[in-house]
Amino acid sequence: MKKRILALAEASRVHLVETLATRVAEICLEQPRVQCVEVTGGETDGAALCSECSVTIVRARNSA
Amino acid sequence: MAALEFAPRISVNAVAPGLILPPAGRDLDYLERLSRSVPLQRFAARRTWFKLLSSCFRATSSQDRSSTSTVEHISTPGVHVSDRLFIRDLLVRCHVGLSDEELRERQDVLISLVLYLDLAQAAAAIASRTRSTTAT
Repeated sequence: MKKRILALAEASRVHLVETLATRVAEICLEQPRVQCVEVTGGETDGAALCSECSVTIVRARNSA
Repeated sequence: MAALEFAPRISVNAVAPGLILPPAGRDLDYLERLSRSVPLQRFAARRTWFKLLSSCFRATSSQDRSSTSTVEHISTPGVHVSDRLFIRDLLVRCHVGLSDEELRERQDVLISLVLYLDLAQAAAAIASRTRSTTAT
C-alpha cells in the first residue's frame, strides 16, 4: 500500500492536498478488509511557523 | 456568521484568501485574467498562503488543541472498526498547487493513515495455521 501511495503521489498534479488525500483514501478502501480510513496530509513547508499544518479526511466504506 | 453563531463556546477565525485557485471548470488563464483587476496584479501561491495561515493560527492552536480521532464514532452495524493499522509520516513528493513554482517543483507532503479494519479474521487465520503446523 505504501508503494502504491508513493507511486500515486509521484504521478499526481493536484491543486490541493485534500485531493491527494482523497485519492489515497480510495486506494486504501480498495482493500476489502478496510472499513474506514483516516488520511492526514500536510505540506512540510506549510508547517514552517507552527507544529503542524495539515488536513485530515475520513472516508468509510459505506460513504465512499 | 459562524463566529457570531458559535461564540463564545467556539472561536472562529476566518481569512479571505482572494485569488488562490480557479473555480471548478476554470483554468489558470482565468486566474491570470482576474489578477489584472487586483492591486497586487497577481494571484497568491498556495505556499505563501499556507505560511500566512500558519502564522495566523499559531496563537490559537496552542491554546486549544484536542486531537481525538473522529473515526471512533463511526460504526457500521455488524462491522468492527476498532482495530487500527497506522502508517505515519510517509514522505511523498508531489506537484501541489498552481503557481509557476508549484508547477515546476514537487513539494514534500507527509501522509499519515489510520486504517480501520477487522483484524480478528486475520489473527484467527494465523492462529489456526500455527496450530496445524504444531500438530503435524
